[in-house]
Amino acid sequence: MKVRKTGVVIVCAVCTFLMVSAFFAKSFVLYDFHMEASDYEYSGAKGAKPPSVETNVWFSYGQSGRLLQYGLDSGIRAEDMTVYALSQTGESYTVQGNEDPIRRDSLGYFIAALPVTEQDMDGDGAPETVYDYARADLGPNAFNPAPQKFGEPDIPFELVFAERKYIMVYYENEILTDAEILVTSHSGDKEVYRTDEHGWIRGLANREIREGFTASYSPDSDTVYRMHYALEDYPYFTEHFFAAHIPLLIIFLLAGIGMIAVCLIRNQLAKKDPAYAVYSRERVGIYSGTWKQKTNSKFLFIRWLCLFTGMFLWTYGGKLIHQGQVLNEISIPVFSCPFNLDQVAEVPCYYLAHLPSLFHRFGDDFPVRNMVYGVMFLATTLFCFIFLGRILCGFLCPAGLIQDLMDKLRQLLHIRPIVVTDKLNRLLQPVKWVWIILFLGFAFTGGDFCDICPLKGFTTAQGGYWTNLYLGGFFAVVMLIGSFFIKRFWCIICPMGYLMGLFKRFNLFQLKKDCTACTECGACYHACPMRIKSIYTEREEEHVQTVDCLMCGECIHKCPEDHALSMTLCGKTVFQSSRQTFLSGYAATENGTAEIGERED
Amino acid sequence: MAGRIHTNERQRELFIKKSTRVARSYLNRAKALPGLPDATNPFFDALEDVYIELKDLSEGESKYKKSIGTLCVMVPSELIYAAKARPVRLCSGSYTAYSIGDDYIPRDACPLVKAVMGFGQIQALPAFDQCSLIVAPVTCDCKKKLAGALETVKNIVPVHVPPLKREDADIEIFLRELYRLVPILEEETGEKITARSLAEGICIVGKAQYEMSRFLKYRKHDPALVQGTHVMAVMNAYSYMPAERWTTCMHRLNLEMESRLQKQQFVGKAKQPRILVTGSPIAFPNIKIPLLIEEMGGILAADETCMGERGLYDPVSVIDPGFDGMMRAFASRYTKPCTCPVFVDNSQRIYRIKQMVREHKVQGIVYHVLRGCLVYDYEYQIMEEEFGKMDIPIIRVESDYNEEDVEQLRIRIEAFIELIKLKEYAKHKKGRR
Repeated sequence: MKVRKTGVVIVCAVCTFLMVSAFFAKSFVLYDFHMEASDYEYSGAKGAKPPSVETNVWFSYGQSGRLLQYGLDSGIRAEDMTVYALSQTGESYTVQGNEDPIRRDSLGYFIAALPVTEQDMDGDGAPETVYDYARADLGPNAFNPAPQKFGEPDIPFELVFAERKYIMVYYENEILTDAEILVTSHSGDKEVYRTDEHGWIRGLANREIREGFTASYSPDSDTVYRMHYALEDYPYFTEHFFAAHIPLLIIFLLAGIGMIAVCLIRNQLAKKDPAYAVYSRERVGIYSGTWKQKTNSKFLFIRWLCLFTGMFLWTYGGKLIHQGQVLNEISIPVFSCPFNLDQVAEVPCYYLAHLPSLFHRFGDDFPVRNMVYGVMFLATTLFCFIFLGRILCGFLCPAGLIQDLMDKLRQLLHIRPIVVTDKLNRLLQPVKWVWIILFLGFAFTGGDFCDICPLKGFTTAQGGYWTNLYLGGFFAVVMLIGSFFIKRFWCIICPMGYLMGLFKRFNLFQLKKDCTACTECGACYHACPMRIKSIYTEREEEHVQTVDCLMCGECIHKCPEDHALSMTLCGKTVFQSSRQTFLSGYAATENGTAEIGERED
Repeated sequence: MAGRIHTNERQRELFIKKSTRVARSYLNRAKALPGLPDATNPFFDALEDVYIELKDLSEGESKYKKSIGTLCVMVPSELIYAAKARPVRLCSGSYTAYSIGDDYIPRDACPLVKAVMGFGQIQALPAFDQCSLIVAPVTCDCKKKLAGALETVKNIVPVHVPPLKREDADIEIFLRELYRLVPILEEETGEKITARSLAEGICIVGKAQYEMSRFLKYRKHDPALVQGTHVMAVMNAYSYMPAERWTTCMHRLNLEMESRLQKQQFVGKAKQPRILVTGSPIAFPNIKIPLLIEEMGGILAADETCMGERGLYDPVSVIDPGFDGMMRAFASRYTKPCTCPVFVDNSQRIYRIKQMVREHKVQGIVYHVLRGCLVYDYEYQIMEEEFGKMDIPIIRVESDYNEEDVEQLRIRIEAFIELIKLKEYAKHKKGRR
């Protein structure tokens, strides 16, 4: 009774802490990539020009001196330029000289208005007035789903990079439709693009955008507006790329310390326990010898393959596979962070966690486009929810892979897991509900779920993106420690996973049980990372898939009864339990002598 | 050790004479059934060694110097093998030991318990006396009191088995009991139980289970490839043979079954009634029920008894490959799938029997109740109801450890087999019409 009460008290405390702390998420800083005023420079500043840069305007920030360069002519002095910056609230303000600090809430988006020149651009002999602007989208949190428009009256011609692949063109604060825009890429190739009815330039590859390009537009024969646009590129294996891993390393370091602490505490507790006293004598923690089951399952191999592929696609896929393009219209529900711009397809977690902005994706200027994208988003998300469901958790989710790898690491170190009993599982349910409430509702209170999301630091850092981590970073530590001791710890409380499981009956993949073949040995229940009890207690219903089921196939793998559990795809069995397979590791050698099987010392 | 005063040399001699005679007669009757596979000889030899030759079990045994006695199927034999000892299941069907145990145990207690008590008192069966330790799960009332009563003559470790098993906390109780057992076994054998030795233990039993799972495939064949009584003897021999040897012999038996299958050499006729025996344990030499069934022209197609298939059927499913993971796997394996009626909710037994009925193409069920075996008797009613719905005839036969009821049993079983035959005939005719 006492234990139960303390359990309830702890759960209540955790839930309250989650709710309250979410509102102060930004105050808990795990890692912040600094942006200091002294770190941005432009030509004319004394001797600070890096030797490799041939152009005259560049922005840099941070200790590593990240640069963005523009193909400009020399001879522009700092006093001739006005630099505008954008704050997180969408407010545009001017930055005065090198000494003026960049505000804390800066998004890292800058536009430098360069001096107006007279040049003969079209070669007709008469010089035109050329307005030059240099725009840079820099720094951590460069991903912003809504396009970040400055809307400065001083900058009539503006380009905005949106939705990972489109360039939106504004002229005098209005959308510029059906206009010819000359785009000069970094390598000097010139091409004329025509903006569509939404004012978008389509067809520019992400690579071209990231290398930097110049777009020019002439509203009449005497005026040319040019904007030099550069989005911060994140090339692999550079200083910047490795710097991006710093928060991840901190998380792993903290998690490692936490794991050791948990082990030590547990050893102390075990010593006091009469039953485990024998065990703690020498066998708690790291001990030698494990049991290795010698059954090979193609199905589980495929699952691991899929998980690794999923992680790869959602971390590096966009950049490596498809020239930087991303399947932006299709959202596939896995828990990978959209702050990584190289995802192969969109993930719905951002918009589900920011429901109010779902139909304001491109700002208020594009009601139709917003609607189309919103509907597309909902349709593809719902399609995946309904027809695929949580099989994506088991087979594709990068967060799932991280947890599975932590579990494998634990097994490798021969450390005892924390067994989730049905009681503990029941206690975790309220925590899940708090996450769901925060996930769907936090945006309505003005909060940002990304600040408390424990998965923000993983795929982004791996992809080389600088991400500031707040409270979520600490939750990531907890998640890692949890998944080290409890298989798929996060999945038990994952809010999106729960939503995905709601349509279990319509899923193409189904987990089925032949109740007449079950002996209730409970192997499936113990193997289940989600601790679904009904799978072994069920005696009537054929469909045993619950909201929590990840379709990972562990239960089928560990089931010793012929065809008691099976996974079907559109009614066809793809994987089923078999006694022969289960016991195949024990098969005697030909001469009938028993050979003591595989083990590890 | 007060109990021993009551037995003297003369009593022992008488006991040995009588007991070996009964055992031999049953052994011969079993062997006389048609279609005895040659590969079953080592199993019959093992039973003969224990009950007739009264041999020392450790003779010729180099690996296991100690024997640990167990009383129910809830004791993980893997754990005992991990301690480098051999488990011996002491549940016995000896009529002679029963009559001795009768003096120490109340009249209404079950004969199996009396037989075990009898062996404890008479000290004439080396297989029993050799056990330096008896692990006695606290299951039914009779076994519970037996554990207490045997304490005067034997070193007993009672192991608490939770009567409920649905909640994880219940399994946790049993896990703690198993952990408690570890140092006791280590002390007894002088060997350390490590993760490695546990894995070896699982392998030893796993191999036996693998061979049995293969054997079960042959047993399911209709017409039968092997007599059920012989299977009962084979399964009973598992109690007294080290698992490795049993596995090797079983492998040979499987090879023989395979060749029988290929030659289409059946022991029964096509329309022989296939009967399942369930209920109280059928322990050698008390194999009169299977014998009667098969002597009367039935075929014992399957059995759901703890001295038969149940003890070995479910494999250990190790989820986490560490020491704790293996212990947990034992705790789960030895309670959850166990269909022993001592558990409060035992509905899974009906499902299990239904499964067997389907897989073994069973036509009738003989529900065996040892006199005084309340827990099994309790479940008869629900069985009758369930199988009545399925139109599978079921008969309750109550027996005791003596030969006085044989004739009565013979008549009832014969009638039951005739009933199945008639039913099949009627069905057949109806089908033809």
